[in-house]
Amino acid sequence: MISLPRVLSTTLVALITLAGSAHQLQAQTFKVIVNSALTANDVTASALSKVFLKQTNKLPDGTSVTAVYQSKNSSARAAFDKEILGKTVAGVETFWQQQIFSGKDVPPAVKNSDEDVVTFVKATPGGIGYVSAGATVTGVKVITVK
Amino acid sequence: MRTNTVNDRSYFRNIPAILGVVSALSAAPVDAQQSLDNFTFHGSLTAAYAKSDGLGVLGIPKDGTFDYNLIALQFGYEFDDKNRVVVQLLHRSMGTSPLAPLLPELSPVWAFYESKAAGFAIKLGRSPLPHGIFNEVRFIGTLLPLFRQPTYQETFENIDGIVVSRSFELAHEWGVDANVMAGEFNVNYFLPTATGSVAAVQRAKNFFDTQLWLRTPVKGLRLGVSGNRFDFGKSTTIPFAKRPIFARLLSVDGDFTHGFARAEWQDVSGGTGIGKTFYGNWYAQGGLKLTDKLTVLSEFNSAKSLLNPTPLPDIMLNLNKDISGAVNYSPSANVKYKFELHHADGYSFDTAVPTLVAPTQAPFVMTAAPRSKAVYGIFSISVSF
Repeated sequence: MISLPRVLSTTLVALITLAGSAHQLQAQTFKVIVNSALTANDVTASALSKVFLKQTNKLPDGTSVTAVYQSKNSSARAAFDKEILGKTVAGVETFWQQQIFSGKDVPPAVKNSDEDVVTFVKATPGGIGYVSAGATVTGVKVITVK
Repeated sequence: MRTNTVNDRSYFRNIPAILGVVSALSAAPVDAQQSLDNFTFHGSLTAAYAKSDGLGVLGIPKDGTFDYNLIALQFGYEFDDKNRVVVQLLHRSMGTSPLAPLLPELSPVWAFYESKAAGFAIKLGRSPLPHGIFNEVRFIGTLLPLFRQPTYQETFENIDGIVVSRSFELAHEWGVDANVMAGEFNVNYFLPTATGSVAAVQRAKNFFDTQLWLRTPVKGLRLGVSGNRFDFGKSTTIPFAKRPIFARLLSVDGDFTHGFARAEWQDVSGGTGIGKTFYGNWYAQGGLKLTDKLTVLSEFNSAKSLLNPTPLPDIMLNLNKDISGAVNYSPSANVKYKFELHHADGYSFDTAVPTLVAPTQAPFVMTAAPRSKAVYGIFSISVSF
């Protein structure tokens, strides 16, 4: 006979395992890149969120940055919006509509592919963006999201 | 009796806005990069069909109307990441509203220069007026749960003057968004009076306003408070010409993953004693996001106004109540379909209805006339880009 505590403990272990693997999957879905002149090697998700929602244009170390988005159809965008900005892609679009039509701000530039994002970040002093986990990132620096 | 008064046609008021932008442009950095990349263009369109079952209300007649549209076009140019100009042009079709003849076909509702420095954002010219939850986006259908939010009436639409904004991050995820502004704006109104109703556009001057938003650690929840004063100079053509006028607005805005709840309360008052001015309203709305695309919601709003049937004593009239239910369907963030059904009762209709019953014996005080009623529906499609 299977005891209730055993069922609960097994379920808990399974959930923790699933949560861990899910987080790993999310973490592998995109990587954050910056212009190679930037000194930062890592950034918190919270600081990254503020940069991409244009609540600040500086990293915590004081470096000025210019964010670039991927198009709303990209899988990297969906993962980044959910994991870093805490919203769906539609939620982020609505956020920018509110900013635009209340006269507060306009969204960062949007690029259509990983290659375009890499090109933008490479050419822009302080450039910061995100690309698919498997994208080639020659000439830019990948930083860790804490 | 209805009086249509045009004291200040709003298009004449475009001149200071244009002058503001021109002077601001002349102050912009002379080495600004002249590039098409620095232009932004956005727009919003709402097309609607609306019908009432009897009395006309908010421009909606008994035989229905397709003449109920909103078009907003917004142009921006960024000189750099700190300096820009923005112009928004607005066209409104208001059906059979008594206000429709008083408003221009196309109006530059915004024309401002903005400079950001040291954490401050300063707007000069004709700027959006930070006032409550929906005021700045009142014509953007994809951002509104209902066709309109009546709390702001037809006023507080924008400001000709200066708006200074700054955000503060506090400890433990609290934050404050502060706005201070000064200038002038148009008051467009249609109000029952003791002798009928009056529709007019009037210029409010010497306007000083503050809007504060407190962001809470609860994601999506914020609290707002606004206080302002203005006057109408020496005008005596409107029922609330006492000066100065003071207005207060309290807001609670909760927008969460699976639903939203909002409420705002406002009053506008001026003068003291017999003949003083008072107008107050409030609303509460709640909605459930059934899926990412489908939302159902309901709203209750109510307004009251103090009438001055001189020489008889003032009387507070419960001007109107509006109970509504609606369905929103958004296949994407840029498109929203809305169907809404309203039940309105009170005295605020497009055709004048009896408001007060004259006394025939002592004590000689006016009493409120029986309330009139209407049911109306609006089906609208909104697109933004």
